[in-house]
Amino acid sequence: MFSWVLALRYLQRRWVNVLGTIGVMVAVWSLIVVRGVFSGFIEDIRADVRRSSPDLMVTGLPLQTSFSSIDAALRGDDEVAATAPRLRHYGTFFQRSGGATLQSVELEFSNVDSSFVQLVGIDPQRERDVTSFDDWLARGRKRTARDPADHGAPELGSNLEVPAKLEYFARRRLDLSVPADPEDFRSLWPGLLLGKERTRYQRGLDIGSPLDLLSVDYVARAAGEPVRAITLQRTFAFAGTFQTGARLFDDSMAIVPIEPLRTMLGHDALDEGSIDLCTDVAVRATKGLTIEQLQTLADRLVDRVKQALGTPMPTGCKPEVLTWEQQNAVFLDAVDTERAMTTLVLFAVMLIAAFLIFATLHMMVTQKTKDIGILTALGGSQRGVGQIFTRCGMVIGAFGVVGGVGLGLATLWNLNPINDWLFESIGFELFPRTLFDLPKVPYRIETPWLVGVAAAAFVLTLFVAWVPARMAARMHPVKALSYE
Amino acid sequence: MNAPVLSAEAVTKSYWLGKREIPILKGVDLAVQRGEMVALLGASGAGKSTLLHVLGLLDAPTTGRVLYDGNQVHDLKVTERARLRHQHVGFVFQFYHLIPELTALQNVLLTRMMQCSVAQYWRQRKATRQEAESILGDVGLSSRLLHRPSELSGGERQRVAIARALLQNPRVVLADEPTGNLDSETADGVMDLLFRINRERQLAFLLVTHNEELAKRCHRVVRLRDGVVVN
Repeated sequence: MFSWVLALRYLQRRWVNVLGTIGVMVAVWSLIVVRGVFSGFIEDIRADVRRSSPDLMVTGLPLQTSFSSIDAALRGDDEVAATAPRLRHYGTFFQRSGGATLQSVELEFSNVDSSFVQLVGIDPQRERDVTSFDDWLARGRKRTARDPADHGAPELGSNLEVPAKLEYFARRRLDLSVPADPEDFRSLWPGLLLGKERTRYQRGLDIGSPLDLLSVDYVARAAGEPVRAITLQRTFAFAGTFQTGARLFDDSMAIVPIEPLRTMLGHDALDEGSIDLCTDVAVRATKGLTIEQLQTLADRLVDRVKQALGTPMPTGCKPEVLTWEQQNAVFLDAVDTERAMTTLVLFAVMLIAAFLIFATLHMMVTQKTKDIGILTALGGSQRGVGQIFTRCGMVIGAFGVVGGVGLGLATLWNLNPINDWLFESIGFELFPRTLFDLPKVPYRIETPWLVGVAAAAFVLTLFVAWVPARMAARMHPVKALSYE
Repeated sequence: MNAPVLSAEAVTKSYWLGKREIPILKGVDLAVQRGEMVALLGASGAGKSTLLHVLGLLDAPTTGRVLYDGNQVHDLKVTERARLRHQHVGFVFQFYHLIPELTALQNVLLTRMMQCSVAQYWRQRKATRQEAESILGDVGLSSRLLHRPSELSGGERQRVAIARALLQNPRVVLADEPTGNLDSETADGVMDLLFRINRERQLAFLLVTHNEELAKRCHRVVRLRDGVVVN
């Protein structure tokens, strides 16, 4: 009984202990808020990454791989629902400017300061079966509060081409040859889709505008002849924007129909001896497979792919089948590591708070040495004397934890109004939404984390209180009474 | 014949300064009977306070025995010694040793809280409070119940300390120079109070003092010189 009375009385008369409570409160609050926002971001990022990736991706194929041979091998597995070819290449874009003299300038995308793109050749029909391709297009067209202009992305043909009329007027603007009657015009340029963010601030890039792709390829004319580089050129029409939400994908990729890309790389479908070239194969598994089941399927498929490719495998060729997580492993791991590091730093804040409590309680024990002697003389047990200080820690910890959890939840629940208010009042955004392109700051309250942080903070407080309490309990009463 | 409420048999106590043994008590024999007021006289450094600490179970004797009501107590476990100290002995110190954060009443009540759980204390809180108020009234502090030590005079603080020692109805009060920090007039008042309590409650007192006049008023005087009882 006396330990509670004295603990409360000592705390009441020593406001310095409020610092400890504030320290715990701030540590708990920051751990809850930062983790909550981070988890919200990660949840969003994972959803975006998931949306941008097929269930499985067959990659690391030899240079001249025919899609049909791999497709046949993959479809032999019951858990493969659909496949689609992908042909990756690269290049830089040039944009034409009109006028009396036809000019072409390197197109520097404003948000990446580079004209370089990675081309992904797809078969739009098959792609729809393995990814949310239509959703990418829909999201690319969606207007936002910050971007009210209607880009008017039209319906696209099987070659992703824009309607002939749009191309017709684009050609006319650039003084390119067109028939007198628009009705007589037939589209010549295959379409090209760019990431929505990449083109957000791009001027003069209208639907139907031609974009000239300049690329290189390495060829060997005949066996034994040295490989040499050749330049490749092809014109595409800007057909609109897509948005998967995964910034890395959206900012670096340009989606084009696979056939023109194949043709550019020397495999025109009409040529004899050409193959349905691909560098990767996107796979959709049957519904409801967990990530572990996808991994098992991937292990099975890689054997099938190796079998289909035959042996020996070309040097440096190592076919792989990656799950959607593995396809984005570097990015997802980086985000997870960042979250872990931030959590670690915030735990350091808690350690500082704990040290503060230790320091104040240690100081209290020293100040109260004489009281400890008196209490022992009055019949107080060692345990009872020690409990005065553990109970001080308990009260400091309890107030800090309850305050921190309450404040943390209140902050998360009002995160967006607070962010808006800060922006409107002083022009400062805690979480700049333009940076993350999010309509609102995401957050996620994880109950186990909440309970874990609260328990850890409380236990830590008790532990740091236990050390001075033990010191008090072990004090010799005679020495304590004569302490000056 | 009843056993003495408090006795020491051949008690020695030494401290070690490095490898050097410093003997403080060199075989003290002492017995205090119920209702007896014993003055313990001696020069500074004679071992009076050390003897008081050993008898109050705050310190263990190096050799010898300490007995309460004829029972050996010095070798009990720490928790048992604390319980016994709470029930059997009351302490009054020269510098009052009150808890500054508590009022006079709370300082007295604290003694009762020492060995009680919250529930036990809660059940008897009204009776305990009445008892404490009555004792504080006895020592002339009815109007100072809610004053903190810093708001009380030296004499009043010592009265609070005496009231605190009495609440548990101890068998013996060990008083270490209870008037040593008071002016003579206040000291006389405090001593009168102690003698009255001794008479009325038949409570044994072992009173450490330098004051010969005061010692003469006690039933018996024990002189300690260089760690040995000399009379």
